[in-house]
Amino acid sequence: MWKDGGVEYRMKSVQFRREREAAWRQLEEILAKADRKGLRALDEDELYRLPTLYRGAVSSLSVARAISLDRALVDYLDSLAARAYVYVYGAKPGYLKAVLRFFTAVFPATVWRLRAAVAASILVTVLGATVGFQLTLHDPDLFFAFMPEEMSAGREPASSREDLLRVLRNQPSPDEAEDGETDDGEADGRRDVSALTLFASYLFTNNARVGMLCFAVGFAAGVPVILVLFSNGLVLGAFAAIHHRRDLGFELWGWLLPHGVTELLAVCLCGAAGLTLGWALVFPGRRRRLDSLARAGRQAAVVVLGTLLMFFLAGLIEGYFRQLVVDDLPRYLLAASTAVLWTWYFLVLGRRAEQGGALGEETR
Amino acid sequence: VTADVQSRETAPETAPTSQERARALRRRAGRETVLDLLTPEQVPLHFRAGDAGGRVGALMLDFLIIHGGIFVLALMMVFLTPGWDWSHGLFGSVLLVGGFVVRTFYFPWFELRWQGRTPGKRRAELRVVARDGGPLGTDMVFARNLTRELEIFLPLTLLLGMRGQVLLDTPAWVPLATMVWASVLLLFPLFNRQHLRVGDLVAGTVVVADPRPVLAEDLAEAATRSRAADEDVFRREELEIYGIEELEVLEDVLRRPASPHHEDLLARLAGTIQQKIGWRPEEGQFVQPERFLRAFYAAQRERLEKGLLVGERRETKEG
Repeated sequence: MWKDGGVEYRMKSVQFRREREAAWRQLEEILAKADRKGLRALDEDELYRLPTLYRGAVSSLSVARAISLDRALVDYLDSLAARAYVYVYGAKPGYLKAVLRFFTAVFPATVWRLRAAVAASILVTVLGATVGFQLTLHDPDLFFAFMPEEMSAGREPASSREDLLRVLRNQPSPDEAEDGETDDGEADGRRDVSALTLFASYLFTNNARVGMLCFAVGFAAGVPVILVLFSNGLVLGAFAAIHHRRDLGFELWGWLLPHGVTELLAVCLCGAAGLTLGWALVFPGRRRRLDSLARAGRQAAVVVLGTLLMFFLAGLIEGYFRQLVVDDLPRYLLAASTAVLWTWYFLVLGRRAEQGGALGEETR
Repeated sequence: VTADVQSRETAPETAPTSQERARALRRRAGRETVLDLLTPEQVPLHFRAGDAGGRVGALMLDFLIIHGGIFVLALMMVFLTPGWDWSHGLFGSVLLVGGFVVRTFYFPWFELRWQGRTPGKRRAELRVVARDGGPLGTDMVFARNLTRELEIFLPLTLLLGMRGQVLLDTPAWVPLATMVWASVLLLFPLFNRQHLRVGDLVAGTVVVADPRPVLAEDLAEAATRSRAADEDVFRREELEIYGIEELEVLEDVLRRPASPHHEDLLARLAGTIQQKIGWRPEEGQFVQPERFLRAFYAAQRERLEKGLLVGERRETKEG
């Protein structure tokens, strides 16, 4: 028989509960506070006691499972231990530090690690562009098969050289100019900063969404990713072809590349993320298929998250720079500098970070 | 020696069946787990699935907060910023980018800050945890939320008939195939045991029930305290009938809130048990069904717990 303050208990489980209950209640209180106000709201004493109390709760759970048939007690300890577990083993470092580390190490290192997939998606895009270019050059009517209408902005195989050039130089078309007052559209955008901002915002959110989609469809064995990348290339190629026919190749690339380097690369990175997912699903190697998919998914998410910044930059360049600067020389200069920047970022910084262990050991 | 060999031979056959049986029992009692972890202290933790209604409710609440937030942002810009109205050019940009940021980062931000919970999940007592039991990483949180757009919002848009331009001017089978594909994505959590959506699959996470720990009174305590230590109300044979499963059912019934219907149930239950164990009351003993049931619960639990201590676990009644 066990004694407690003069009262006798016949049952071990009842006695056990009376002895430990106070500690459980303390843990419950600390958890409730962390729950309401976050871990940071805990004072030093509470933080100090949390792990100890957690261990106590876990050991209580273990004992309770062995000796007690009080379902309510075991359920209580189960959820108490589970909650405490999340707080004890789920702690995170500061945010600012994490963001900084993400862009200086984790993102470029992950891209470097997935370099084979990145190369593959660039290859698919280039392939698509070549096919689109050649086909459209020989049969201009194919342009309509490749090009979504809303993207062409009135440019088509029948457009004259002047029409095409006018768009590339951001000049209003003659009939619009006659009207005098035009909408706050792309053509008139040179003067209205707020319209440019709207345009840039639209480009950013739209492209970022396309990028995320590219990643998300990846788990369908990667096939849709290849289709998206290839058709993206087709559009690009067809577009280049109609300008090339009018002898505007140089001007077109000056119009396209300043933001295009960043944007196309970002799309390819998202595509690489999707391909990695698909690959992990089809060829899990020594891992279980689900584990393999989860591991690839986390790497892919890092890449997609990083590309959000790239899409943002591309949106700024496309929305402001391209609308405000019409000369070819500064356009090519900017295109070249972004190319150099990304090359250095991924091939030099990323490689160094990956080899320096930025991604940690693959323990999972 | 013969007995030892025999038990070794029969063990592999009996072990899975008893395991299966225990699992079937848990499922019947609504206790099936979706995730079993071993803590670094070597204690298994069992997590149960959040119910489907809770998950849909949590999503709807979060969705409401996100779009309500964007709406409030818009109102504030119009009414608090001098010289701005609905047609101001920057208005659209701030709304576009702001909306995008809120939509993209709402879930990750909360799931990181609140250890795997958003306001909706908190309300529905749900939590996202890593399937391997490690800390919930930033990469996991983003992986499971970046797919949300494709998995939930896009199918919903398609299924609700608000088809984008993407699907216009295409052969009839394309929208059909897209719909099928979209509903597969949307209904995916219903077709696996852990109720993972594709985002969880890709991120290595799982959504589990996270009930607030509530410690109820010990039903046996009052009954055992009021009794002298060596006084037994029930005879040994009377406690040899039922097992753990019946004990848990009895506990469940006793914990229900009082009501006229409940009184009936208690009376019938007491009658059944008394008949089954062949109980012969002394004069005036336990006339009230609830008192009888509580005393029986305490005595039965004591008996079964003593069994546990010597390694004898009786799951359910014989035959």
